[in-house]
Amino acid sequence: MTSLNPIALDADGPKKPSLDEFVAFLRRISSLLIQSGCSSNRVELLAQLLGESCGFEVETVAVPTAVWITVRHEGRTLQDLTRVRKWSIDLDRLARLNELVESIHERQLSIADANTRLKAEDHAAPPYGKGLTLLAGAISSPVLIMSYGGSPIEIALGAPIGVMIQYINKYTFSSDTRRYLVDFISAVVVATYAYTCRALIPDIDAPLLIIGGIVVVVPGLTLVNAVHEVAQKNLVSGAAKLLEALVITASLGFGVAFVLAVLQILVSRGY
Amino acid sequence: MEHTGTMILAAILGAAAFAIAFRTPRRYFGLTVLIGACPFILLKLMPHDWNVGFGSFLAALSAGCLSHLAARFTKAPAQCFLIPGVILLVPGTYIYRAFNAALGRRFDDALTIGLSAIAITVGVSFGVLLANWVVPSRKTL
Repeated sequence: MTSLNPIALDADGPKKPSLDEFVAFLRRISSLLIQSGCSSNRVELLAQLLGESCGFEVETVAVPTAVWITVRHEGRTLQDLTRVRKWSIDLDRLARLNELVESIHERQLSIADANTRLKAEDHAAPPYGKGLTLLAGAISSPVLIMSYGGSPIEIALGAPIGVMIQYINKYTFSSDTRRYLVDFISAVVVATYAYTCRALIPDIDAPLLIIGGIVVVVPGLTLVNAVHEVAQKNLVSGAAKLLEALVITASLGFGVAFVLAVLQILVSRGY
Repeated sequence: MEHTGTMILAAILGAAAFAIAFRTPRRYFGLTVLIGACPFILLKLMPHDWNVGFGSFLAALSAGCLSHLAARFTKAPAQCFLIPGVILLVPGTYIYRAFNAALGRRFDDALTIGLSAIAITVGVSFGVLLANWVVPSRKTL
């Protein structure tokens, strides 16, 4: 975890950044905020706030996959666009970026120093290790199965599913080229495990195990954020998030349907 | 879940697990788990004949208000406290069951369950939105 050490203040406070320097900073922080799971309307408000702090007129349009920035100052206008290709929820990074913005707003940090700190974000270590993250997975699925009324054996069988889902999502299919597969693969793995368990222990409820495992990756939060954005009249961003939720749900559903179809073929041929 | 003790334990463990999964800052972990467990416990304590959307709305409102209060005291973004609590309220199981029913050509079931999912989603979203008004958010994140 990168900590934010307070910097020494000059007598006059940090010097005003140039227009180009400010736009470069705004582009980088907007991109990082969207990547860390910040809502589009918050990114837009934040950009405006930073502009006011530094004496620039800022207009921003943020959507989940890109941020358009316009900065005006003394008759000169600069426009920029940054593409966001991957995103997840990283509350630790969000808290650090929040501290950074507050330091700029309170004139404790110059844009040049803030830019240096942003560059360090690429190498910031996660707050929890791999073991603890997988343990969290081992807890979340059994808790969900317990809340759906699962039996003790179903709750116990939920732990490996949670570990598998965390491993697949966080460590296996996180690269740009393969991330579209992650939901489908997660569903296939969970459904295969659930029906294998049912073949060994006929009393267990396989769909309950599937739901307990898959709910962790079902885009419920994306859906809530989408409605939140639409309610705040951020229609493009809200619609994009609704579509993302739909695509993820479809991938998960097709993953489970794929396993069921294979099972049906195997059973019909007497395996 | 019949036993209150089991329910509270499940809520705390669930909030802790999601706090780790979403990389909540270590220094706010305890507070996040406490706030995250509250809406789930509140939802489970509500009478069963209440509308699911309304119950989710109240639970999300409580999560939102507590998160904004915590954000004011700690100067951290409200999202740090809000997300691990709200994730326990989102209708993941409804969405999956509705989709599964549609795949199995049980369209009546799919529609009924899907509408419940929409009611919960809208309830949670407006609970969070209203919390912004009840306890106004801080100027930054």
